[in-house]
Amino acid sequence: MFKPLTEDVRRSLEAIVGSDHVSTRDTDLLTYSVDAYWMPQMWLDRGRRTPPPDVIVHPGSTEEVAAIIRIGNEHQMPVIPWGGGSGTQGGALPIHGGIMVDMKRMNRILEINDRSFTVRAQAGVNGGQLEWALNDRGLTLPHYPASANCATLGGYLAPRGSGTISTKYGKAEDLVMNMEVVLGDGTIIRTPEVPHHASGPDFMRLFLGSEGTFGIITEATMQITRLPEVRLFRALLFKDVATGIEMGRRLMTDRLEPLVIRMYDAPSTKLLVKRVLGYELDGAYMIIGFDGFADIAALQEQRAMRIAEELGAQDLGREPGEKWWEKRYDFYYPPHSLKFPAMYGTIETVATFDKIEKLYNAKKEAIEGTFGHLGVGYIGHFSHWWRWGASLYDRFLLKEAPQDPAEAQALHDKIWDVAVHTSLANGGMANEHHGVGLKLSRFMPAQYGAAWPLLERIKDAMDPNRIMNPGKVGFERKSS
Amino acid sequence: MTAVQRPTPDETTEGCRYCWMCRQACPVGHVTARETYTPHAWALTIESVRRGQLQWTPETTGVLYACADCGLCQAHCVTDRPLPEAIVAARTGVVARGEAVPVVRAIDEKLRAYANPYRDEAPVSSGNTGTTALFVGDAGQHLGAGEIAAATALLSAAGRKVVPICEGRSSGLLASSIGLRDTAAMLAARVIDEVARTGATEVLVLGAGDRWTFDHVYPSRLGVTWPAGVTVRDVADVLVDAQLQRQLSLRPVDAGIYAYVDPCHAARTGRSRPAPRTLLRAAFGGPQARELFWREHRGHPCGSVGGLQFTHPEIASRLSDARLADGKAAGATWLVTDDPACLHHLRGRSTEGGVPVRGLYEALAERL
Repeated sequence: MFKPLTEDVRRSLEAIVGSDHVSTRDTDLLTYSVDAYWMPQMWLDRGRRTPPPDVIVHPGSTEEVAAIIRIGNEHQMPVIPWGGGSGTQGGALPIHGGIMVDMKRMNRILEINDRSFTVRAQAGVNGGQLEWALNDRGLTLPHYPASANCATLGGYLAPRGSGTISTKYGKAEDLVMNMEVVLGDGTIIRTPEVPHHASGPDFMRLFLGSEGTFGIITEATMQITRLPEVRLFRALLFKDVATGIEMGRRLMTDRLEPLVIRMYDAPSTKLLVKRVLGYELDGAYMIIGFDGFADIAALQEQRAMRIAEELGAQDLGREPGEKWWEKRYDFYYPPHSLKFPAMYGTIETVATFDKIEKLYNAKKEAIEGTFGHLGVGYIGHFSHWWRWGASLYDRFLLKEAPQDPAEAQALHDKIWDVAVHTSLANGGMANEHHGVGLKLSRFMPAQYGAAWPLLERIKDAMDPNRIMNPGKVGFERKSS
Repeated sequence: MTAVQRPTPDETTEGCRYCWMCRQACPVGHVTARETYTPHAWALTIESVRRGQLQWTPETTGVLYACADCGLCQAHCVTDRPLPEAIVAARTGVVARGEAVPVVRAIDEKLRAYANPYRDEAPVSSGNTGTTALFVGDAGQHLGAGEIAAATALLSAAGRKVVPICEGRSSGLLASSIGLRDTAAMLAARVIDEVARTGATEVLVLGAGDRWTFDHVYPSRLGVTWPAGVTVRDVADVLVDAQLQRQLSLRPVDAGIYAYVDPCHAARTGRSRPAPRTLLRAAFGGPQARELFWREHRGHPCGSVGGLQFTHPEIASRLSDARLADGKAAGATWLVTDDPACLHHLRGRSTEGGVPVRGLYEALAERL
């Protein structure tokens, strides 16, 4: 069992970071007990509070983070990293109480290198502010998640996030050069300067997706690029998802390097595209985009439009594509964002091209077939594409969740069970880019099968006392 | 968003409590690095009290009063959610129930007695009349008399005769921000009376805060109507026009590298402020100008905003220190701003920050 906060521990924490940077105020405890996951928000909405941390600390340096983790070990208290609090998987929830480590004081941009095109920054820097600093120099970190305004650099990396233009530039994990990490025993390590080499195993990747369960990322160097000369967007309408998937597959396997391919299925087109963009369309709405030098982007687009024509797509022109780009984050602002009393979950997944259509159909059938009688709906779009496959960003929606929070959570978990098992059974992963957190933690052993014990052994090596973000990514504390 | 669709304070906090999308713009969140001092957490705190999960206590009201009412969250919200209005409404409720922090009550007493929070001196009513009035306000009178004198001299050099009004009288913005709605409305009514008595058809203002107050706070927050036929203009705009018409000339000088600090509330007015920059370039050179990181649409306040200098002086100081550090990082050897309250506040910290701060109009008047 973990131990609660004592005066002794509090004093030790104050000695590390200063008393101004340690809090047990009720408003802080409440604020840090809820992130962007539906579950804690629902409990709060129903008048109940979810477990708070014992104490919140705001370190100002890597050494302070290390000292805090050592305190956690010494006093058997959980240590939970907090960045922007915008994760949707409950990855930052202090479900066992403990020491909440808010990283936002560590927000310095340490170096912008415009020769190697890299930026080195502390992990608590806000994504939007980092981007402003780069844009001022004509540069960009080409990772544009919907959470860019609120998430931190550490929050980009820890759950392996994807952004709107990942199709060309990759996920956050593809952009990282190196990191500084404080391990679960308080050891400070640095990964090699460059990510591609042949000097032994690439242990940096162990921390990508570990979500604070192996340690806390305190600094990272990311690849950056110039702001493009142009960004060209175009909207297309397909009669069905299958033809749209084929369009995406051709664009990727022909290596046309699209910036974005976003295809909404027919129900999403009817609901979201109409609500946010104002277009009433029947079919699968797709946006394609190309960026870079004007002549090259235009040529890429021209080749893409040839494929679209072959597949019988309706060309909706530039304006609906440009409008989507301009309003791409509007979907996540109130009043467009989902809100209570609704129940919802983004059950997104990823699979290879040979499986992705079948996976979409199977999930739609599973969700609507199992829960349709309760009013649960299913919508999806395909948003991040690789040369081998695509991600399916699908959601379940229920307009009115049961009022009783326990009943609501039970139904929510049941829908997630069906969704994830259907993904795994059809060649998909439990998740593509939101991370595992608390929400998907229980599915990890099944997802990894015989490989799971290996991950458990790695966890023990990184965090011998299992104090780091317990209950997340499948890692529980072993009973002693 | 039309007025009809404008969400109520409750609808606003309901939506904003679980929305993190303006985090990057919040100055208080940035300088404190506290989750609880960010827009979503203010909405969450207000909603949690409304739902009985928290109560208004000295601790929770302290959180409520940590917002700067600078408007940057709304200015950066693509759906224009009026969270600052919802926070002000919550503060108004706290005041009405007698639960506000003691300093708010003290400010209320001062404003009611003297129409300003700075000195125990009643406003001056000169009884002058004229077609163009210069709004002095309480900060102009008690904190930035030099700026007022310099602005008047510049306007005079440009052939504009102005009548100073509301010398020592608060516009009501401070009262409005900290939830003293009745006091704010009373102050607004007196400002409007004075405008009417002067017979002015044009009121010139020095800072974005006055502009914001007359254009937005009076009609939207206080239900006070600005007199019909009376326009509000920025002094800097008038001076740029005079320069273009060759009615004003400034002797250029190389005074070193400088940077302009956009005054509090500038970002929320939705207007970029090219005029001060144009005047500065004319007097102190374009190549010597630098831009701060926190500028224009993302311009962070100086700290003298939303009553923070009274309710949370430590946050106010951090904000001003951040402006000074921003100037230093930009390579500026001096900073310049045009709002008397901002000038006073920044100057108060500039000895520690190491970058001197000058008033825009004082600096320009030296170049006449």
